[in-house]
Amino acid sequence: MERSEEGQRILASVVEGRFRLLNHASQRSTERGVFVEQIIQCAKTCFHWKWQEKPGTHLYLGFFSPDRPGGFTAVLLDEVLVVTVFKRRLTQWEKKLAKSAKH
Amino acid sequence: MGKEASEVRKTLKGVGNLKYVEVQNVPMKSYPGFGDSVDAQVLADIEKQVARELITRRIHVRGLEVEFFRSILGLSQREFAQKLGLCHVSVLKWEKAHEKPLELVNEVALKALMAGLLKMRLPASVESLSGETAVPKKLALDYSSLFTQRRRA
Repeated sequence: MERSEEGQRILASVVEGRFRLLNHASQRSTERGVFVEQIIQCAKTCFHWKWQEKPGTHLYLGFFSPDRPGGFTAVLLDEVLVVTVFKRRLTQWEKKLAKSAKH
Repeated sequence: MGKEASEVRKTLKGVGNLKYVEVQNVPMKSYPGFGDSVDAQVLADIEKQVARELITRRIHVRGLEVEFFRSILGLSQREFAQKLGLCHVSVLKWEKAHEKPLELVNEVALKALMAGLLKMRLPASVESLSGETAVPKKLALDYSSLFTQRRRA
């Protein structure tokens, strides 16, 4: 399976709520106040993902809610495993886009 | 992958943003090289069941619990405030003051809303909806009893 195909399969599975959270991910989500519903939301709004060569996972960037940028990393075994969840800062182009949308 | 995943039952420390909640005997799957994992659907069910527990145990609602209630429903602060007939700034202020308990009138309104949305049957009285118990340092719940109680109800 190609990496891009694998990445798409992970994304589709998370959007449908078919995934598992690793212990590490559930601990980080408690720490960072991220809920299952928000991970699904993030997958729906995901605008970018890439393959991480070393740990062999896929990195997804999106939004937990419209005003809360976030992301998660996941790996595909027999099921999709979410490895971690994180909050992120808006990138420069996102800030510019938000600014231009206001005007 | 040489080894297959195995089914285990473990304790889940922390649910949503509530670090003091602990759920024992949660069904998990252990993957060699990755560790234990919990199903997202199981976790979502636990989140909803914990919300029910907080209401039935009459635990005081603070900003952290408001955020918990709102987030398990997947609502924004604006949408949540609209359901309560309030401005979103009120919800924002509640949530910012993490440890501060809500005023009685707000607490009753919020619990009544949650009870309705979570399909709970509660007596419609201020007494049953107001907070009575302070937020515990640790709230230990058992996974199987969490769901058998609900089936009985």
